[in-house]
Parts: sequence; C-alpha cells; structure tokens
Amino acid sequence: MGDVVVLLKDVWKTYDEGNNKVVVLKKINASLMRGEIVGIHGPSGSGKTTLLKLIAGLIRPDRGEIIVDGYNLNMLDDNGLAMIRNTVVSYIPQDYGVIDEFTVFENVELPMLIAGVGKEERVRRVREVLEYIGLYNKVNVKTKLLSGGERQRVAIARALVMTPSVLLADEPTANLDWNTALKVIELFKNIREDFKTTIVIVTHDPRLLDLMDRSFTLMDGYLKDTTYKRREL
Amino acid sequence: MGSNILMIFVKVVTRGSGLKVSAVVSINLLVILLFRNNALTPYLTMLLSMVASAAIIIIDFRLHSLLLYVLYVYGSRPNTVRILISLYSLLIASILSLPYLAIDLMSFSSALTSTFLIALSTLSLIYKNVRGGTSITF
Repeated sequence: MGDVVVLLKDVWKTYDEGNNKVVVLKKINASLMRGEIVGIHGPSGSGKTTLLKLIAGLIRPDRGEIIVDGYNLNMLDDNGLAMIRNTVVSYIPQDYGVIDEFTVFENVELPMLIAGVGKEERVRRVREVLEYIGLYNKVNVKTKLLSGGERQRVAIARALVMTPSVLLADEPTANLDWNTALKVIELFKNIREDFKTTIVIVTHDPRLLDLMDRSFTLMDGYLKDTTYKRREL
Repeated sequence: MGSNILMIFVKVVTRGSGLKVSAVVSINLLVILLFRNNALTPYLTMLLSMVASAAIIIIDFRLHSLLLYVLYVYGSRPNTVRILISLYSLLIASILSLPYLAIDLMSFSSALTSTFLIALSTLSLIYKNVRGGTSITF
C-alpha cells in the first residue's frame, strides 16, 4: 500500500425522475490506496452502483472530481473514458455480464479484442488468467453450461485480463451461498497480493465488511468511513 | 471501428440469430416458390420478414443488450456501439429481405419499393427501442 489510486473530491450525482431531481450522491470524498480492498455497504437504492459506475467512467458526476490512477476523469472525452475502462478500471456488473453464447475463452478475451491485442498474445494471456483463476479446464466450454460460481470467476478473469489498477465488483457475492462467497473474497485477496490491484466491493451483506481492509457505508447520499466502528465492535 | 469488434458482433449475430434468420428466409423462399404467380406474394414475404425481424429482436433482446453493454463497459467507444446497433439492424433487415429483393429485382415497381422502405423504417424504430433498453447513456 502507499499511493492513492482513486480520489473522489466533492462528488455529486443527481438523477432525473420525471419532474423530480433525486440527489443520489452528496459531496462524496474518499481516497483509496493501491492494493487495498474496500467494501461499500448501504441499503438498496442508496447509490452504491452509481458510485462504482462513476469510478469506472461509465457515467459522469454533476459536480466534483474523480481521479483514477492519475487520470482526472473530468478532463477526458468519451474516447478517453473508453480507454480508462479498457485498461485502468474494470467493472464487474452484478449479473456478471457474461455472454452465454460465447465460450469461457471468448468471454475472457473480449477486452483484449477491444484493445486490438494480437491473437497469440490473447491466447497466452487468457491461458495465464484462467490458470490463475482455476478455470483453464473449462476454456472451451460455453458459459451457459457453468455454475453460478464458475460464471462469477469468468467475469473476474475477464476483468483481470488487462491487469487494471482498479477492480470494481458490484455485489459479487449476491447470488452465491456463504461458502462460495468466502472463496470469491479469498480470490480477491489473492489478486490484491499478486497484482497490487485496488479492489472495491459493493455489498449488501455486512458480514463481508469484516473481511475487507476498509469499509464505507453509503446512507442518504453520504459516504462514511466505518472501518474503525466495525473494528471496535 | 476495429475488425476485432466486428468479429465479436458477427459471432453474436450468427450464434444468437443465425438459425432463426435462416428459418425465416427459407419459409419466405418456399412461399415465393409455391405462390410465384400471385401478385400479393411480394407483400406477403415482406410482411413475413417484418414480423420475423420484430420477433427475432424481441427474442434476442437480452443478448443484444448485454453485448452492447459489455462492449461499452470494457472500453468500446460510444460511436462504435452506435455503429454496431445500426449495422445489426441493417444486417438482419437485409438478410430477411433477400427473397423479397429477388422478386423486386425481377419485376421492379414503385409500390414494392415503397413497401420495402416503410418496412426498413419500422425496423429502425424497433432498434431505437433496443438501444433505449441497453441502459447505456451516450
């Protein structure tokens, strides 16, 4: 750990709902260090996914600054944000975003295809990451034939294949039983150790927060660092 | 747009919709063969193509939305995703219209061409909804 990889400065985000404006995030300030695992907890609809999408460069804030691995996202145009999503930040959606018509190999190579990586290099990197994740024996299997835990690992492999600085996981354990969930968290810890990746995990399960380096709670639009509170308990 | 992204796109279209499109084209060809002397045949095949296009879009809606979303999340430029949506619309509409176009080429008429253009406009409207459903904010 050491340098700041994600910096959020006075970030606000509002959504239009008909004639009403709903303020989802209010004056969010946080700094996430390289190689730490951070948990974000909060009730449904509290803006957890919105926060992840802002860090991933999928949406833009109304106010404030987001700096990811030295890139100020406000300063980037749409193509710049696309580059960030391809190489700097990886976002794993809640339903994993795995394409069922594709094999494990085809799903994992997808970010490299977008980046224009050559075939030999793609094959080598997919093999490496699948061996690391423990799914190489399923490389040519269509993902619709895999279990929930395996599909989750395919999504993690795909997010990892470009070796991003930041990995964002939206409710990665929501559809898994407790033991499988613990294995997923263990995998994230290994990734942190081996790749020095900063990992942000959004969860509705407060038990998982005890397994993180730091924890935040998102409530009524405000983000609070609750690490110490949990440790005192 | 890179050739790699085009490859992903073609794979998804082929695997997701290929069989359905082939079935519709075959049925259309059969209709043409069976009722080739009927003046209404071109319109019937056009109608079949339109209904089939709409059905394929509805059936494969989740797959198409997911592909566009995943491409966007993993670094495709918004313009690339926009082009893919238009290209997909054009591809499906063109393939499904092949039997109709064959008739049109043999006996060109302005009425047939107008029907064809109306059909294509309807299809692009449907695809606009597909894009709306991908939850991508451009």
